[in-house]
Amino acid sequence: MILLKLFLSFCTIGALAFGGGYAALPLIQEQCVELNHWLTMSEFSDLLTISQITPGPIAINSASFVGMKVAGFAGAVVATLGFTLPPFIIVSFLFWVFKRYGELPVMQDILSGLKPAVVGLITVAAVNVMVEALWGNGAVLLSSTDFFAAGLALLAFIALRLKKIGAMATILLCGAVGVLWQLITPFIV
Amino acid sequence: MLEKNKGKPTYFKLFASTFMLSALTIGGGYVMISLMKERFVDKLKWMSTDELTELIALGQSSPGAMIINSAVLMGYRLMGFGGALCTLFGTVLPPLIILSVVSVFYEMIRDNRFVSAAFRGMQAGITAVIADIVVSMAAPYMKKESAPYIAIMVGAFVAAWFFNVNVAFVILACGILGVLLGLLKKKRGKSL
Repeated sequence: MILLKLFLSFCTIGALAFGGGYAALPLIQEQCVELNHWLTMSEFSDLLTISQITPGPIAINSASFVGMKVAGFAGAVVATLGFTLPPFIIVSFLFWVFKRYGELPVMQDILSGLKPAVVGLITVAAVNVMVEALWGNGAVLLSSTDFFAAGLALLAFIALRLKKIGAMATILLCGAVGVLWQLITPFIV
Repeated sequence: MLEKNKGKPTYFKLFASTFMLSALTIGGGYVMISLMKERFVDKLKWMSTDELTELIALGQSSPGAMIINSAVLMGYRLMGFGGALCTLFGTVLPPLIILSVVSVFYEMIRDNRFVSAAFRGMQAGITAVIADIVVSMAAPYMKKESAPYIAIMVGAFVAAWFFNVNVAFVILACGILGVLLGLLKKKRGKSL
């Protein structure tokens, strides 16, 4: 009954993962590494690396990766369904509440507090990626700044603000520039 | 609502759009938010930036992945339960398929020099994309009467970034602050 076990484990993760992907990580680690021994710690850290360079939320990536490893494609499907089911039910309920009572002043007040909070939280994500891009895992110091990444990010930001380029094109183009840079640095440095 | 609806939403369009966005989105949920804004707000004009922010706020308040929750809410908003199922599967299928394939030969990908070079460049691009959406979403608040809401914005950032407060608590606190601000507004008459 490995499929049922996978389903239930990822249901638990889905139901408890308040606060997004990074809040889900300790839960995933607990279920997959510590309780069920589906992954070793080093496989778990591989999973994190892969999640960064593949599309999709980290929890879905984990569900697919772990499911695949434990029980093949059926495992991946079951684990992913398990993770999405509890949030889907909760979100459906929220939408119902919102539709029914959304016009009430108190709901509008709640939302008026939540909306700027969301902007603040997205800023956190922006700063997180920026630190990762400009300083990697090192200290945030002027001397250890990756000026190539900083210049690239600044150029991309300006292009986006001027509406000269779409978001996806920006990311892919920056990836291509990264590879090009890797190819030519041996010749100029 | 916006008067110029470019084509009505259909189940297929919802599924296909979210599938495409999800398949291409490297760099996490907030990058996909930028893409959703480009597609559903700027291009198709199915909703306003404010409505999208509202859906993200609701999506952020539930457990699970913020971006899936927000996509599901968008599906509900545009086409009810069927729409929600379309956006759910549209968002979930691409990573499910890609990861299932990648998990077989991930060591090759992980240790490839060019993959990591591309990834480094893409991170710079992702930084720009998320910074861009922050500017777009913060712009409507940049007026004097929004000062308390700017304070919430900055407060949420400081709590989550400097103090590592769980996003769920930040959301809860800001919802309560919203209600308190509403009460204060009523007490003082219209202006705040």
